[in-house]
Amino acid sequence: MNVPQPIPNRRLFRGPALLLVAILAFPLAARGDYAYLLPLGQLCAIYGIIVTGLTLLMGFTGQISLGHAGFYGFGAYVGAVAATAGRLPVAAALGVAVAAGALLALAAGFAVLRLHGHHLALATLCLGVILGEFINKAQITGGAGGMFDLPEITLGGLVKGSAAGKFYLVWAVAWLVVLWAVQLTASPVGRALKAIQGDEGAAAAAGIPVFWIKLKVFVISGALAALAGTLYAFVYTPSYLGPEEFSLMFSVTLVTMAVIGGMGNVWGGLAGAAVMTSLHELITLGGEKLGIVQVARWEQLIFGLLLALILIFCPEGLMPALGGWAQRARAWWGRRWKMRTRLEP
Amino acid sequence: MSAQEFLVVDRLSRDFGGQRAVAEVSFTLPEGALTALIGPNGAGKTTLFNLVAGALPPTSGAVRFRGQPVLEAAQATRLGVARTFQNIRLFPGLSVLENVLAAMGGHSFWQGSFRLPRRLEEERLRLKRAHYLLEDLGLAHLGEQPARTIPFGQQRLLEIARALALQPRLLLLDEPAAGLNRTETAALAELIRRLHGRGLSLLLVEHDMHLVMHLASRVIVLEQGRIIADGTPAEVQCDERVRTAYLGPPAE
Repeated sequence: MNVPQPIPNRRLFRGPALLLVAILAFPLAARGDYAYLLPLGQLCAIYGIIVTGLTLLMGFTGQISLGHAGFYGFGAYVGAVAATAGRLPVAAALGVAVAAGALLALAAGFAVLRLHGHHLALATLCLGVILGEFINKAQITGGAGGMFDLPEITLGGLVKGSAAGKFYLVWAVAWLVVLWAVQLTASPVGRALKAIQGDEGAAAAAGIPVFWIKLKVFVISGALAALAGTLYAFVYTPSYLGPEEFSLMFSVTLVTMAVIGGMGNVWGGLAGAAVMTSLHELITLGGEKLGIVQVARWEQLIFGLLLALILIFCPEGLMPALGGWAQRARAWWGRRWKMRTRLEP
Repeated sequence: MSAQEFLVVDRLSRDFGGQRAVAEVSFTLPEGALTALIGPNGAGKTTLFNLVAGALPPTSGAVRFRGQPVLEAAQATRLGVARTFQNIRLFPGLSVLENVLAAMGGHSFWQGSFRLPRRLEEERLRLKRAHYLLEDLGLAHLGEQPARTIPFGQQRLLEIARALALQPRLLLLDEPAAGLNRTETAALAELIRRLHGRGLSLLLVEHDMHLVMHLASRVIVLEQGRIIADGTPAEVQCDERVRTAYLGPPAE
């Protein structure tokens, strides 16, 4: 019997390569009447970064977090305050925000990662609520009024004001994050994470330092959420940063993105982010066209239904289900093909 | 280091609430020993096992392995102590092969972040080792299957394979024959003998007396958290206290 081999580089890096092509091509397609798709694409990248961290945390390691909108907002506001009141250059403010997100996750992780299941969900939820309330009430964040006219990341004037330039900038970051996550999950670390999800006691008996690894993943996911927050503040909407984006509901939306895409691999999180962001836009546009006043309520209903349907019909998530369907379709066509060739004399 | 310092269990106690599961237990194992730990249900065997493996912190007392204190489960594996579980605990989401690979280290996030040729070479080596280990236990043909789908007897073997992947000096087997049929038990006894023959030290908790008496050269009997007998199988079988513990006091 042959000795098994690791996944070849060619196969592992095919996904990131295809993604890169799609990123480069998208602004070429989104022109004229479709230019409104560019900001949407930026949001997909920003959410994709957070959900990639969540996929590592939830899908691989099996630790739920209902507080990641808090880390996202924390990153955005630490960056914003560092750049305005702190008068740091925008790149330094970004670094400070990501480091602050990582530190906060480290401190919080020490406390909450000893908990499991519902207890962990509740503890992270509380963390999200605390951060959200702070942003909403504190003076330094501008409270409910928000902050205006933040400095913009322009890469020396390269992407200033251009939607396509911003799109490329945020997706460059998201692509690097995905490229990294794809390698990490294909390494022995990915296996260790799934082992921890399967059985923490058995993982420890297999020599895996369970708590440290959980803490590392939590810190990484917190730092990624903070990074996404700075991109939101400095690239997506530098003219205005308000607390609405970082609500408790958004933590749930982030988890939904991770779940509907499929939590077993990095691509699922990205797909979930894209699907949910597009759906949000579709519902808003459709609501406007139909003259529905409270679209947000309908949106919650639709998202809830979508989540329920996916959990019933493809609990593994969209990406694995699509893979399965593709396989079945191929098998079906294969059978038809054989039948036809048999019938023909 | 003398042979006596291989495994030292020193006045080890563990309480659960008001219940003392293990009470002041002391014993030592020399390197290369094949020892059995027996006792009636609730005697504290599994608790003692978890203490030795570092999975439970003791209330008092200490475990030392080759001169180093056993503090925690993952650390115990680095000292060379590996274990299996009474109720099989595999990683259900991983394949048979990956279950073994998971115990082969390489958990550095930094190194995992970049797929350098060096890392790939290390992974090839791991895959090779895991494959030959599975082949040795007759599981290689199941490599790609999810661990939860293989038959019970083979799941037990896979758990042993995962423990062996740690390249331990002492292997702790918690009721390895539980739930196995007669053929499988015989194969297991053969495997244990083979591992022992390669110089591995073993400590097993077992209910199958037949297996224990045939395999072990030394039997430690635990009752209500205390050692009540310690000797060769023949000695232990004749011990009055052991008979009382298992069968009740002798009839008048």
